[in-house]
Amino acid sequence: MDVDFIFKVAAIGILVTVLNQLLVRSGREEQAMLTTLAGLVVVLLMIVSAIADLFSTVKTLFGL
Amino acid sequence: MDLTKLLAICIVATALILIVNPHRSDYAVLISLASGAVLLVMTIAKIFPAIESFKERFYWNETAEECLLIAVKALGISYLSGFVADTCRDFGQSAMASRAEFAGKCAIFLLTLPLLYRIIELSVQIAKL
Repeated sequence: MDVDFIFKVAAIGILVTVLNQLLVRSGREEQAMLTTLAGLVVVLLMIVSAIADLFSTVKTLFGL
Repeated sequence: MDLTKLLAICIVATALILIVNPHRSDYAVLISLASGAVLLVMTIAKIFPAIESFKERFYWNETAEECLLIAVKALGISYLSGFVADTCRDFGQSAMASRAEFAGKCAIFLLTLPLLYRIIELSVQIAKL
């Protein structure tokens, strides 16, 4: 849960965008869609674990 | 973790979101969530020593400590539901945002019911005098 977490997510987002454009331009739409989905799944898993950490921290700290 | 670093992170995250938004708005949502989580944890880390020292000061009085606990819990609930509601509203889902806020309000209301009962009992006792 540090600053580089934000940059990691942003880097994956930009990378997937570029890959998507690359694959679409070279005529492989399905691979482009699959790459986007793969990137989305990876980022979602990271985000879910980070949000879970956040919620558990807030719960313990505020005694909810 | 001083304030300037926190504000700098906000600006950088906003810039990143705007870079990714036109191409893939789903990643923009994820970056917004990630930066929101990181910033929220940082601000909580700053606030919490003050709350802890505040709690120690009130241990001598039972009711004061209980009210303080309820206040801190309400703060936590509003903190979280505000975070979720603002993120949802950022990306156009105002319906989801109002759901999150309504859930937060209900949770806080349930939290304060015992206080309400006590106030009513006290007022009845006073009326009987």
